Amino acid sequence: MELKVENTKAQMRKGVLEYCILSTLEKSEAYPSDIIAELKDAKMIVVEGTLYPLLTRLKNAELLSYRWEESKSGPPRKYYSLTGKGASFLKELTKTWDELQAAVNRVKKK
Amino acid sequence: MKKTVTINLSGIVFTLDEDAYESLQIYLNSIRKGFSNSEGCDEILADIEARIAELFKEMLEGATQVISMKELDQVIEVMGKVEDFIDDDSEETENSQEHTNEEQGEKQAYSRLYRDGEKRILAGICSGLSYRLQIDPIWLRILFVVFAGFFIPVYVILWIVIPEAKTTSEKLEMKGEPINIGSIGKTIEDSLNDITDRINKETAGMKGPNNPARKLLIRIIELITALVSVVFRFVTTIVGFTFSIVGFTLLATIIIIVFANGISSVWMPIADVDFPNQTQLLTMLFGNEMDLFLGKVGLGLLIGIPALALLYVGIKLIFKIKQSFIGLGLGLTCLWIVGLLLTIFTGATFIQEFRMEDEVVNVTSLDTATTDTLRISLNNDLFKHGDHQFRIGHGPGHFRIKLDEEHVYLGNPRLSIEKASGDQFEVHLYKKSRGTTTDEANNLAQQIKYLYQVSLDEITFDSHYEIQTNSKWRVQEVHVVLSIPEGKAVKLDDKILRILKWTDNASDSWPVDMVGKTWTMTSNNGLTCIGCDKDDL
Repeated sequence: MELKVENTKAQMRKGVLEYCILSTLEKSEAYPSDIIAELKDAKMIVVEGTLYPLLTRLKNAELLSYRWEESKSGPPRKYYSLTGKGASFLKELTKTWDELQAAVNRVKKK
Repeated sequence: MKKTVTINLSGIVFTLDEDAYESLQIYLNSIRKGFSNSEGCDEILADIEARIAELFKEMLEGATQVISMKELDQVIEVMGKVEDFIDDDSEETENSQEHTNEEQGEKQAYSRLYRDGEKRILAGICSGLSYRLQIDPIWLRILFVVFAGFFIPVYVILWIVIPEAKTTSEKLEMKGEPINIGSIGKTIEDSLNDITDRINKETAGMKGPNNPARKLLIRIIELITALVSVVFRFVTTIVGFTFSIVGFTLLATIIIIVFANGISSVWMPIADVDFPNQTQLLTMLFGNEMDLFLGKVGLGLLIGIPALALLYVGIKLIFKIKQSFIGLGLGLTCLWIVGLLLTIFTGATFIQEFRMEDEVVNVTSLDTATTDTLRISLNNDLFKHGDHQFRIGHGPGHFRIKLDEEHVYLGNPRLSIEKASGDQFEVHLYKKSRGTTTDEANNLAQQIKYLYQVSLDEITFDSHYEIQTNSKWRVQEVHVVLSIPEGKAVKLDDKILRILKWTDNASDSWPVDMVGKTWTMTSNNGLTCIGCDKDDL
């Protein structure tokens, strides 16, 4: 199979995306639009639709939980926050991320 | 002015233009379809709907009251198309999708045709088709190799018309359920539900929902729709097959006739053609290779392209392919016009070559033939046993050609009989030809070689004449006039009938009645049969 840079880039981004979502929720609970805004700023995602299946998946894996909050400007919103399990999962990921980053840097310097 | 539709999205009421409403429905359906197999589909959809509602709400804060296509397009741009967010979780979900598919039987009723780029050998057509037919692609590949001659053009056309499955949703569509009675039934059912819904809506206002008359009406329409869709599918397939077969046969024929010398012989009502010397024959006809080549290409395009189009339409009908390629049609039309122009051009040039006619005459006195009764016979050795390669017409007097590298023999010359002015037998040889100019025609006529043998009491005419191998064929003809002095006679051999023209005679006999008898040239009545039975003439 042909190796395309676009594919590799997408794969890389995909792996990191869940980590990023969890990270944004580490500081405080948030509603999808906030998460999207932050990820868009960081150029992690392009379209909003990408986020919803991921959030549902993380919630079903019990890494996230949400509560409803009424909104003046539309339907009620889901505010997501990390569960205890989510927090330790994030810790693991952060460790792995740091290790990976260090590893990549070392390899590149040589 | 536009019609609007009111919808409830996540508990909020919106007013949408009708076209925007339809697009939104399509958009949401595509998302539902895309996630139909993943866990939490309803939840994802609800989240997305809520977000869309929020975006709508934001947009409606100004003077805008109705969501139009413009607003919807913006929203879709923000949310992204289903391909954009399904593609991201490929393998994991694909596997789980296959499981749930088998359990819930929720695949689409028809898989659409795509080329399978992942399992391809050439272009992925066999493996793409195999999903549709629900068989292992190896069987299609074997079939393809065994009947390669037929399938190569079909394969190429399929390659052009079937798109490759690129996005995840296209791949899912490709792998959908096979066509079988069950799935056809399901499709019909789906479309009927649609119709029933519409009828429900339209009649609901007038009558109660359980009105028996309305139910009956719905039943009848269900039945009719079911029948129509089955018949329609059947008819289009039959028409598709007919088109493909006719198109393919025509295409194959034109390719063989125009570009190959593969056929040994073709029998037609007016012409017999043996093909071994086809090229030599056609070269003589056209005069030069270039015109011949242009003519072949022109004719090939003129007939080949409609044949190809027929094959293409047929395949589209059989496989229910909706995509059309404007560029392809335009290109083919252009090629066809080129073919037409080439044919007209070569045809016009070709006709020019026959414009002028000229004739040369040789008169020979037959000094050696001193007899009073000259026997006339024919040397037909060359064309014995139908030994010719090209023939136009049947029966006496037809046109024949026999040719090889060294000789070109034509038949038949024509013979007629006249009264001589002197007292000796004479042969007047008229050689005639056509050509672009009179000079050329004259030159070609001079080159005709025609022979006859004379002895004391017999003259034997050849049933053929010869033209040069490197010269053109421009309707070279030979007309022999035998002049008979008054008081002398000729005995016509039976074989001479092959070349004998209508000749004036005392009893107005047909050539067929003249042969086998002795005719005397008299001063008053011309040729007269002495001592013949009146009934014989």
